[in-house]
Amino acid sequence: MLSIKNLHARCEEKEILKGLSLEVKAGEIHAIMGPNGSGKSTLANILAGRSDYEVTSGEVVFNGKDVLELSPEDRAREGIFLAFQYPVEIPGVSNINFLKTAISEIREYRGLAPMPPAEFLKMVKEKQALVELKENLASRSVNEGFSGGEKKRNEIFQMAMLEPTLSILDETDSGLDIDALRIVANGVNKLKSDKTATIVVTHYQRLLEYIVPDYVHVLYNGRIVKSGGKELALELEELGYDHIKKEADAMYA
Amino acid sequence: MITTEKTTVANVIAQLIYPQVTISGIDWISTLRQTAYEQFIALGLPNRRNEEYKYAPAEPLFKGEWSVAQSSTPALTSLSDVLFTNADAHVIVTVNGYYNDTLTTLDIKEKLIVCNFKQAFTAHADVLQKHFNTLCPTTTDALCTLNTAAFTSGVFVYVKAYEHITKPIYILNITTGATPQISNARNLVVVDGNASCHIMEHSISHELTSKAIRNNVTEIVVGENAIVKHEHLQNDNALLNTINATCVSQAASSNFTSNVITLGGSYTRNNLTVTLNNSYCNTALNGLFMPSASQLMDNHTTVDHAMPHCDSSELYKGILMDKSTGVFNGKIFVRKDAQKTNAYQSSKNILLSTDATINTKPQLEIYADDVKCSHGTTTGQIDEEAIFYLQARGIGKESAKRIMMHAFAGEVIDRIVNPTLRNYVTACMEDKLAV
Repeated sequence: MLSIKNLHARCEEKEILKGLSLEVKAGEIHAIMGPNGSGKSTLANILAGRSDYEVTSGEVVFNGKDVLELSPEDRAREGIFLAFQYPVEIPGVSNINFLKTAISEIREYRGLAPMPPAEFLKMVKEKQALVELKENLASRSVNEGFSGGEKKRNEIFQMAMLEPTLSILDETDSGLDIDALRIVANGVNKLKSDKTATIVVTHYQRLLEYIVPDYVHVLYNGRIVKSGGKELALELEELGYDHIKKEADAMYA
Repeated sequence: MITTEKTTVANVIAQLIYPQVTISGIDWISTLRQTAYEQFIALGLPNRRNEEYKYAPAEPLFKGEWSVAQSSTPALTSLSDVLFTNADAHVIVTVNGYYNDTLTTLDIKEKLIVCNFKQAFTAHADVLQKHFNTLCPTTTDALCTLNTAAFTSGVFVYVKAYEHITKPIYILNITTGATPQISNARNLVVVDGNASCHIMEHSISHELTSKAIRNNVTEIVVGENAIVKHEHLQNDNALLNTINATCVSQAASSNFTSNVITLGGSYTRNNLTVTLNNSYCNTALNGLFMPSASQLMDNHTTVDHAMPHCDSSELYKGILMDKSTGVFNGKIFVRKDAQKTNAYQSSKNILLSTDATINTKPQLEIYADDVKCSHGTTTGQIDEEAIFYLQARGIGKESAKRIMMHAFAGEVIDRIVNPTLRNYVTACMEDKLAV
């Protein structure tokens, strides 16, 4: 589904990704872990199309399409979803109207007929329940005055509404208490299918107790330096990143 | 040298209007106009050296050849889309500052008194004598003075005590013509105690092919316990220059709301002054201005708290495009006796172009010690972070921008009382953003 080959990217003058490669197939959950500043969020943002980064070489192919050639909105319309680390507050734009516009633009792009209003409302109700989002939050302005946990739940609610094929969760666990973490993870797990894939970017192993990954990758200094199964996350939790850093530093020295 | 030039422009204008000043048959008005005429020449037209007109000098507008605006009657069919036929309103039409009987239709079931301003001098002499020219600053503001000296016609609205006018009073101001014209329309709205009404003004250019100046003065007297809502949408073409003075006085426990939406014109200066003459008044002033191209839109507001226990709140928003200029100047006076005043003011602006300019100046003068007053002003660009967030959900960049602009302006538009006007403003705004 997603194939990243030898991706190099920089932000202003600083090189952040230095040859990152990753293959994600349908039905898989990949966790990307790594110390602070290793490039985890950069990867997530580049996939979503944030313009602050410049890709200097490499390729990203999603379902046969060159992702780097697509505008952020077209990536979303193709089925890529980024759950933001810091969801943006947009006063005056209601959550519901914003989703209605998003869904209608996505459907138009895919050549589908507009969603009937009744079906849309039914879907809102269902998906709200999934992430235990209070009803009045859906009708309020996007993220305005939401608590940290509500903002993250709102991200998963939007994900549920837009039904992406590839979801990227950027540090979705940061700032969440254990109950909110459980709700968010539960939402992600329920949305999982053999046709969709998920990339979980996280700093801690905690989230992975709830969203169990098929693969764990360690990102360090702009490259994936180690990959393994879910047990790798436990190992990292126990031993920290130091020994991996040392190995990687020796290899790329 | 400078003084001579200043006097010259005012003198030329004064000569132009002089014939009208002498034609009133009523003594006290003739005297008033003669005094105003002399005062206007003495004051001269405000230019850049006048602090209040620093960013929007009026004098240059008046240079060149002008004539006094003449009345006319455009065909009714050509006005169908601006007459708000579905608003179920009293419809009053003015053309080039003249009250137009032919196009005006009032619902006679309501006890509303509306007439040509000039007829009111005889038909409602007592009301006129009591209120006319009592609110506008004739000794300091040359343009108000010019209007007093030169007004030709206008609208008189009178709501008697305990009358509640349920239908909105829609006033369509049309400017039309092919020769340079200056119009001086004068309106007086008197709402007696415990009465209420809702006025919607709409100013447009209709087949206007030559430059024009509208120097408009509206005085609104809000009686004790009365409720008055005044809304004004200005959407003229680029040939029109408007100076629009609205002067309001509020008696005890009265309620006044103003929504001023400025979208069109070349030069627009809105002077809005509200004086709270007694206790327990409520005042809400909202404004939205969206200049584009080289348009200039200047909103000067004054809220004068003279007595205790009054609340005022003010929200003005600007969306500035291209090489346009916007001005917001908000004065709040809290006089010595005005204890327990709550006064809030907020001015927020978005610059959509690097060539656009906004000058914003809150001006609070507080002489009482037990009051709550605050003001805030922000100016910024469109929030790129929010645009990216919307894009990341599949919304195209252009529609993301539109959503953001709607959200920004929505805070003011949502306060427009009449749904027909609200929808119309939304549509006009969309047209303007789409260019």
